[in-house]
Amino acid sequence: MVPSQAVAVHDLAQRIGASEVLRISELVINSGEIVCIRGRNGSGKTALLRLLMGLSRHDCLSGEVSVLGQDIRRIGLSDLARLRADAIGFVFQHFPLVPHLSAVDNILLPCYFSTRRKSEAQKRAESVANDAFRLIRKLSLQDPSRLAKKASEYSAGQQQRFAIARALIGKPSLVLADEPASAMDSHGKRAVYQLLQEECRATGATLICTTHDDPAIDGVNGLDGFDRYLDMGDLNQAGVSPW
Amino acid sequence: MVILKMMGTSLGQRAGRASLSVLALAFSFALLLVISHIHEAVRSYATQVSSEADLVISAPTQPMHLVLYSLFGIGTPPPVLPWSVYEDIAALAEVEWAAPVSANERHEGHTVTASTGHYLDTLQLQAVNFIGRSEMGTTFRNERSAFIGADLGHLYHPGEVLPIASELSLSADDVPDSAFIVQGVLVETGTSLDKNILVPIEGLRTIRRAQGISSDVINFMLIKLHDRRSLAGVQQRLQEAYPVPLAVVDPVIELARLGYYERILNKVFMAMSFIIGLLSLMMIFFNLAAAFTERRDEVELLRMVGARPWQLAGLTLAEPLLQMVLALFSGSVFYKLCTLFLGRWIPLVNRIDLPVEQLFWLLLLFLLGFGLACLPAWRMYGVSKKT
Repeated sequence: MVPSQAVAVHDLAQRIGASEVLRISELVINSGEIVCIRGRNGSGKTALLRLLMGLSRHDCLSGEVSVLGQDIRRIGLSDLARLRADAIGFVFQHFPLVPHLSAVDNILLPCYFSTRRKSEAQKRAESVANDAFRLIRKLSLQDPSRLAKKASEYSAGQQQRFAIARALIGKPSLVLADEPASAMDSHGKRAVYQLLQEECRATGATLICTTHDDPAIDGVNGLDGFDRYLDMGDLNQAGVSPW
Repeated sequence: MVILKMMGTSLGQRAGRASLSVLALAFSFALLLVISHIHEAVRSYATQVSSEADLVISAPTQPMHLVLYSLFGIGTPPPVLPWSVYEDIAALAEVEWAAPVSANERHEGHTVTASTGHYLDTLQLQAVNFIGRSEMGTTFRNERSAFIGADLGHLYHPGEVLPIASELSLSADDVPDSAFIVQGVLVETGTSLDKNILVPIEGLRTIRRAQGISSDVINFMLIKLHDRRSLAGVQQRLQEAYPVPLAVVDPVIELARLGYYERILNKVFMAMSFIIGLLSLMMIFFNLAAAFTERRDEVELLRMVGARPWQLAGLTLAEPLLQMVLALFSGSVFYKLCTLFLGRWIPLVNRIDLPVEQLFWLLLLFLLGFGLACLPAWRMYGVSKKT
């Protein structure tokens, strides 16, 4: 059963080294909600998403962090691995893909580690590869059949597209996207945000997307259509983040 | 499956360095095997040969020189002894058999070694026999049969007549009944015997008499005793109480002395090969360690898609293990090729298969490599658990 709250954070304080990076008194994101978190560089967006993935859970000083009904600070290693494999899709800003694997293998990575996501992808497009091609086509890639090259041989923008396809494949319950369109032009950005929103709405997944783009300044139209916009500056009362 | 694919592609990223490490490790594996093989072949041959003859007797000379010449054909023949000494010693009650050996005659510059079938059996000389086995002794067909060494095979043919001449004698053209007939070719030994002509000593003595040569001498004799426990007594008696001064040598003792130096040399070579192996393993280890920092992001990403810490540790462990298995395989192929080449140069190596216990060094190197490979894998496990 899908919990009503996809993410719930209460009285969180996180410190990495000497720096306090997150201090959030309350953040609740309901299941199926499509949320955009905006904020300037270093405001703690990446730190928050890394915490929700359980990457920096040991750095938490206090508070409660619940992701898809699991207490992320206390969950066991094995359960955390299962939660990530089955239920969470993610896009990292800086290291989107395993560079020496092919693009298609990168996209299919979650299906290699989760039978649930593999069967969901097969249900949707008869085979996991077909589902990967479907997502790639939606991301306006010119020739989606040429995915056999090493990931490192593609441009930064293309790599980010593949990372988005990887995050969406196999119907995850929660998609965390950290600056998913930072390496793209305005046309690409629009396509990325639209795909993320469409896919998550179609599958009922929760989407948390961070960006430092300000539509008023950058003229990015793709940031329309989110259910809710949060400002990281308002959300996080901590000082400077290392990211 | 994807883990194996990642291991392959990740290894491919460092193909140059990895190939060098694998080659160096394979070389050291091959070297360890080849050295063990040669050592084992020499040791086994020496043991077999020395076990056949209890004593070697000649006119006074260095014991090591006598053993090396009599059993391995190394060096020059010892000084001569009168035939009567051989007859005296062969008649001793303790002696089971005695094989006199003479190496004074020549044929077209090739040494003619004259002895009995016991000598050929002791040295484990095998022959490709063209004419058939003899009725006398184990090898020679009759008094005029001759075997030619492997290196002379292309010079003479079966049935060909070999006129033998001593330093003072005339050629066979002048004395037609002083000839031997080629009966067969000896299998290659890798010693100077390959350039010798072997004839029965009784035949040679007949020819000597026919040519009017009065000196009836031998260079040494091999003795087999009925009971090896009487060896010390016989040796002492012949050395101290025999009217003619003699060198009476126990080949087992001399070979044990030789074996001591051979073992030291062998250990030095083994240690060198082992060090090459260790250095190769360290190269593999440092390659892995250098790549470790580069792979931190990759590890984090894989953890995000659900890879378990043990899977990532396995990935880190599998890479050096694959390199070691590749090196083992290549090393075994190198070793087989080396023994093929060495077999032509040192035919002794063809006599044995490498005993299983000699693989201990390989096992040790493999276990050391496994231990070294576990370190980065353990570190990877620790890092993965934190992500």
